[in-house]
Amino acid sequence: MTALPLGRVAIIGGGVEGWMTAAGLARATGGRASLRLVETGPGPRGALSTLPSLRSFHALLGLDEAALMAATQATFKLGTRFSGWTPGTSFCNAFGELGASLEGVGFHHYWTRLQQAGGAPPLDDFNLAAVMARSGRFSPPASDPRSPLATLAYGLHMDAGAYVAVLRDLATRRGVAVSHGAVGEVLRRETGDIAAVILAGGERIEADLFVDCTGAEARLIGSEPFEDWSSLLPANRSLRLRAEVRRDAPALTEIEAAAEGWRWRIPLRDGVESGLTYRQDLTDDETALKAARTGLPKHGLSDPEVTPLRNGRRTRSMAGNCVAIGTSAGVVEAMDAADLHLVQSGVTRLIALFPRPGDAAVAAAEYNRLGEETLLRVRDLAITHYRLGQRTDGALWALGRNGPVPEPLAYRLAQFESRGRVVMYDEETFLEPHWIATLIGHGLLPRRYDPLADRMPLEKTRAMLERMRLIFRQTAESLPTHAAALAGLAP
Amino acid sequence: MARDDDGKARIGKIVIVGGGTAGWMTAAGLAAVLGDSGVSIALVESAEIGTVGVGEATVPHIRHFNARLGLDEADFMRRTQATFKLGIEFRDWGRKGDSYIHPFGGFGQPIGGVAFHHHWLRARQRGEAADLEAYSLPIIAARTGRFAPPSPDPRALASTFAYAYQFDAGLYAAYLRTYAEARGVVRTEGRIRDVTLRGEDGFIEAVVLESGERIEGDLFIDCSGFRGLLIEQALKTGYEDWTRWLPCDRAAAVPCEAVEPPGPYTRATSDEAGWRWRIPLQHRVGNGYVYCSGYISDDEAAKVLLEKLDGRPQADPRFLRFTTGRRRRQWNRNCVAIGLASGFLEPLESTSIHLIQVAITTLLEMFPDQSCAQADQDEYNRVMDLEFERIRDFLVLHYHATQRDDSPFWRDKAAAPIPDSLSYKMALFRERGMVVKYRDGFFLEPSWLAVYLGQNIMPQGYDPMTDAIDPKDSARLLGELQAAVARTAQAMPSHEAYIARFCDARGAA
Repeated sequence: MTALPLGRVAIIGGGVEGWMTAAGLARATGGRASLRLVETGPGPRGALSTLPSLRSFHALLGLDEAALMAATQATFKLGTRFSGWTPGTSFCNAFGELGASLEGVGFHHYWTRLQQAGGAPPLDDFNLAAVMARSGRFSPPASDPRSPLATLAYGLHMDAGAYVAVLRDLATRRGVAVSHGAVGEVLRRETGDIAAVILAGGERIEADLFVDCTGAEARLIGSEPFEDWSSLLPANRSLRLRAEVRRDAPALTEIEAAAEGWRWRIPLRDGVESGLTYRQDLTDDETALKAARTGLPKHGLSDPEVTPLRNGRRTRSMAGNCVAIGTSAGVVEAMDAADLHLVQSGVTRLIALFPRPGDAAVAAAEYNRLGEETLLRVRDLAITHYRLGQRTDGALWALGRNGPVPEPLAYRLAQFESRGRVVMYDEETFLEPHWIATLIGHGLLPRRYDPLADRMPLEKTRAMLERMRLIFRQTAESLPTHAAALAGLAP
Repeated sequence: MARDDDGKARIGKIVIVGGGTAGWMTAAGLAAVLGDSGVSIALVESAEIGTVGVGEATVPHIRHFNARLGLDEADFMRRTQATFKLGIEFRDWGRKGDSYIHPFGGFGQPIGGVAFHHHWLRARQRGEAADLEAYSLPIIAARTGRFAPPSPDPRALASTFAYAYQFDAGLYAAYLRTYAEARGVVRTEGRIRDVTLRGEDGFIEAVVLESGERIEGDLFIDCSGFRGLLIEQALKTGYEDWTRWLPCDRAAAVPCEAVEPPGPYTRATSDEAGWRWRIPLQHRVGNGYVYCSGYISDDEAAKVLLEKLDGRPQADPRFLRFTTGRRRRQWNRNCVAIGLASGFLEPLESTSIHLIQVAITTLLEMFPDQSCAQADQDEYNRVMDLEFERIRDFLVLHYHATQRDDSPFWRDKAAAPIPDSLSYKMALFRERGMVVKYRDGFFLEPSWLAVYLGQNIMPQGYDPMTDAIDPKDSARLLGELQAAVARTAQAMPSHEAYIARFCDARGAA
């Protein structure tokens, strides 16, 4: 076999992480690398809830979205609705803009001013995507920049197993070879580099670069120290099941807090995925199952699947000739649906910093720096939900609320509370409107607003906000329903 | 007095101490935004105290500032003797005899998802690439003395650059003074004799002029220059010295007559103990020598500067002394330092006016009430610190990435330590041709590329993903871009002709 210029890459572990890596590398290396993926176990079940950024990954892969959606039972996602994090409250974390900044001052300052002057309508009313989702509508962004629909963005809800099948088909057609078998033994050189992985069936996998996509087992990267975040994020277990119900659900992921933990609902075309993230020493699996089933029909439910969850990260995700992508590198419980985004950013970072003999140390330092920054910012948003929620009916919530707050998040929260300033660091996954909706949605109202908002008379501010609210409502009502938008997709 | 819901009184009066570029940009910028909100703005300056005005070359962001003020571009250019600027030419930086341009624009588009410069690096290794300059429209336009504003069509090659101005900073200050005074800024002539502080919290209460006049305010902006009349002399804020990284501590400046039409770019030529600037305006050329007093005397520096002028000097050289670094807190209590009072970075990349602009913009974003909340100060200082540090690293790169060894200054510079944040960036570039990117901070990938490659920091490799694209395909695209750049530049009018048509200062009041 002749050596290819980019060498041999072995991706250990199938699943969404492994196949996203395989498809991404197959596209980027264009036949200049020898790629092999080892399926170490059964494929994933469950449903995926994604951020709009994943669409750019699909574009890079050349995936046709309508075909992808048909194959994966997909529905559109305009955002996430959080409810019950403080009893009796709910808010929508929708993609796209929040209101419109006026005269250089962010919209939420005007909103805060109105709020302080006797009350303002819910912030959701000023996010077009949230208004659309609430009224069961959907539209892709408009290409005309003057349209209120121009700033929309959307993610997808997909069946995980079907998504893997699509990626697998794409990757194997682009030359990715597949082996099967659990990881038996990992052989290392004196330098610590991996020489080969021996599969349970005896097959010997040699490569120049090994990608650990074995999930929480971290079969290859597991020798690196693990930074444990259980004091910051208290949940450590999750349970999922599927209900075969057809109903026209809004284009939203639902994240609902209950006494035991937070429950998620992801609508697919032929069913709904439900699950609960909780803490094992506080809630047993049976209670968790009951909580996950709340609101679902009695019949047509799949068997539940329970998975341990360990929030934290490997201190290095690229070390020697091994790189970890996905949950083997780090885990943040997924109420913000950043899990696939973290995989995607790992894959694109690996493409940008593909290590070669000689410069691997420099590439790894930058890979790890960017990966750490990205993961920490996602973690901080997850902590924010626990920190700001006001539930008093479960020990989980007390743990979450009273845990330590990392310094960059403490600064961000203090700045927002002080005057509505949204601090953004270098590697942010979530944009300003997302942070604003989360913070205000959880009841963190700024004590002060930007004094420049006072340049506009209060009555004029009130009238402008009312007009904006009306336009958003009318625009939403003029759009097709989510179900009609799905039916209209030509695969 | 109006109070917000915290019971904290709103800022009623802002006092700017010092005119000059920083003072009048601040006055104009604040007046444009606060003009109709009942805040009164006073500016105190003394005609006896000269302004520095070294920053005559700008970066493209200035256009946002002018737009926010609503300035008419042609009018502003006429009244400030302005010319257009497409970049900076660096002469003799890598080695003596070298020349490269840091352009306001990129080098080509990514090919197959891989940044253009990696394709160029590969083609170069294969002997199939022209000089990097040939792929940059603003560079070729600058080299051939041409200018036209960028095309609004984002698909056009002619849209792939930005521009700034070269102007007389004194005239710009005067222009903005007219603007600010028309919007209610009250100017007071006089020297400041005393600054009085409030007992309970050490806030500045008032400045007292030599005439005895006492000017009170809620918020004070220190635009008094290096000495930091308020931020340092009154508030003892402290200064972080960066001369271990950027040792130049003096400058001599002199204008001279132009002997040729103005070029659409600034020039920075390295010299034996520092570097010289040359900034062509419509009516003259601004010149200066930034040097390190440990290696050359003022007299010698002035002599070198005068010897190397294009045309006859129009005045005697003026000397400036400075300490590179930044104020420990740019905003301290109820005082915000803007311009040289906030810190100094040599104008090698024309960032002086840019830093003033960022300060004004950030102050407006964090505009306080009378309490000047600590949270507001902290965030302002965090943003400004990042801005200073990231510009600093970029400046240090110019000195560090040199092969000059023909004078003690350059030998010492090449051996001097650099900030860790910079050595990290350089290692990534040397080994992989990768430019470290940040969310905040002014200089983006094309700027770093221009300086690295212009100063002969050649990466050992290129992005390995480049090899997924056939070298013939990238060579063809490189060739097409080169031809399109040459063609597009040639179709532009000469810079001189464009100025004559658009903003000729002759005959302007």
